[in-house]
Amino acid sequence: MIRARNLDKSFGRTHAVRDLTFEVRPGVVTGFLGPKGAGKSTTLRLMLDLDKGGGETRFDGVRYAELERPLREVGCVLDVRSFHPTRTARDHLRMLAAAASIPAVRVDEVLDLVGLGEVAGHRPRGFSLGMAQRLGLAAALLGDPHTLILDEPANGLDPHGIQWLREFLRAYADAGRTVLVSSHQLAEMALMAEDLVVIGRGRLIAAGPVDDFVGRFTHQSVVVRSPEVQRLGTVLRMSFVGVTIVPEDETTILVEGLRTEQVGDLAAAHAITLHELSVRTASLEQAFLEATGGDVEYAAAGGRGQARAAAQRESG
Amino acid sequence: MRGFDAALRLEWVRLLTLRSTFLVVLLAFGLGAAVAVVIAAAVRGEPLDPEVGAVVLTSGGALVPLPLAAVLMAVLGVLAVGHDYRHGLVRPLLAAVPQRSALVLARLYVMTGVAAVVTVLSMVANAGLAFLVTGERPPLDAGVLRATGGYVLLVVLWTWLGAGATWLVRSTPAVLTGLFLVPLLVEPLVQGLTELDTLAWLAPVARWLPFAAGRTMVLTPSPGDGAGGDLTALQGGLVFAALVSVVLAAGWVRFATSDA
Repeated sequence: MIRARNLDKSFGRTHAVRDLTFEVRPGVVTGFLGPKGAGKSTTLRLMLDLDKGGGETRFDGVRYAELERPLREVGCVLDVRSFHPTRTARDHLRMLAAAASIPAVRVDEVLDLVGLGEVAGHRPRGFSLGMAQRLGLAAALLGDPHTLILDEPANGLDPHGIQWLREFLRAYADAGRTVLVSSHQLAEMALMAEDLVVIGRGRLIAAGPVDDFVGRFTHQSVVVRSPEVQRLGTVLRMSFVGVTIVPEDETTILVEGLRTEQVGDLAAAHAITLHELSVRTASLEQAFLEATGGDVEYAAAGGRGQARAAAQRESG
Repeated sequence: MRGFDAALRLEWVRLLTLRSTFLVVLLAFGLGAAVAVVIAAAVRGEPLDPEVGAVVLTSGGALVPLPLAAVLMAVLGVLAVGHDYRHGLVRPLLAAVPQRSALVLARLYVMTGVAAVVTVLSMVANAGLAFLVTGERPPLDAGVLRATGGYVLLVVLWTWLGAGATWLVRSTPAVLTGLFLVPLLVEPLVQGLTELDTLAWLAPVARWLPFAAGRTMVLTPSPGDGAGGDLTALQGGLVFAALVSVVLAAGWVRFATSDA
């Protein structure tokens, strides 16, 4: 269990992390989400006492600096290329293992585990981003720790590597361990994480199960396709106050604020033929965009709205 | 100290798994031996007096502005710390040993051991080479023993200076430039300026220039009497040690209190 309390960090006038409090429970993979520049990496460094700031983080009740053998309790990957380019992959891990009195045989075990067994004696100067990522993960796994903290671990991995990482982390968490993974790859996080901690501009936006987050920050819509979609829209507006109807095309509308049963019953009562009646659930990406829309550090001016306006000007 | 044992193990493996460590140590032996052979060959046929003997043992000792082993061990100190920042190693190292002062102490401990052992072995090798070239063993009177002991201390202080300055500045090129520039250019310039009548008032200040002062530890016979003349070996050593202490303390504080 990780408990982060009142984490706070400023760089000059920039407040990178503001009074951030959250918990990460064991047994599930927890995604740490936020737009670029939201303060994710700074938060992770604060948690591990690598950056100096306010607040404190406890790992099963103990601060990182007070852990008896940190590598055996918390494994972390914060920067992808944190190794000397001319020190072999095996020696890099031997060096870290020495600090925790981890036997040399474990070094080769983790190198095999992450798929770097064949290049253990190679200097990592020429390692690809994916290989560097695997070496970092091997370092994190050296002490077979109860807690894993990984900053963007899927960066640079090929699809097979990402799938392997996903399955590995889920199995790791299933064994009752605590896994916190920061990422801005929402599709990947949707497949990997069960819990989320979402931040924007250093502030906590949401924390809890993925489904709760998606439910809280999106509206569930009912998709209705009908040859009489205009009449159905009129009937819906007359029958339900506050219902929102968004036309998708000539025969399809999205109805927000009603359940499928309500739409279906009303259509039947007015003898309106339906060709489709289904629920459209929002994705994690939609929820994320909704939740962090105002907290993006550097946003392109306008986005889709401006593009649409520009298209209208063109056509006009 | 909490974390010291872990830091010591890590530091030892860190040093032994870097090619640059062996390169610098080999350079210290090789260049030191070459200088010793050249000096010994130059005085062949004459009695090896204590003054020349000390110069041979210390590969030039106080005669050069940059004592050979001292500079090379300082480079080792600079690289030891500089690699952490240049290659982003500082975070994995601190994740392995979060007690920062333990990491600093362990690094100084290992570097001190390496610097001292390399210097002593280099002097032993120089003595053997001098014997081969001149047929004489370098005399080991009190003055020579003081100079050689001072040389070991000087090398250790330079090593600490290199590491401390890099913890403070966090830039390998900047520190290396400073370590070469100040004793090679800045201090000789200040000393040269004292020759001008209008800048003669600088002379009392020039006595305390730290790198020049440090070299008095290696001089034999003992320089100055401390009474208006040159600094004694002890005074010179203390001046240089004061500089090293200030830089090392500042670097230590920065490492212990700043973001990694």
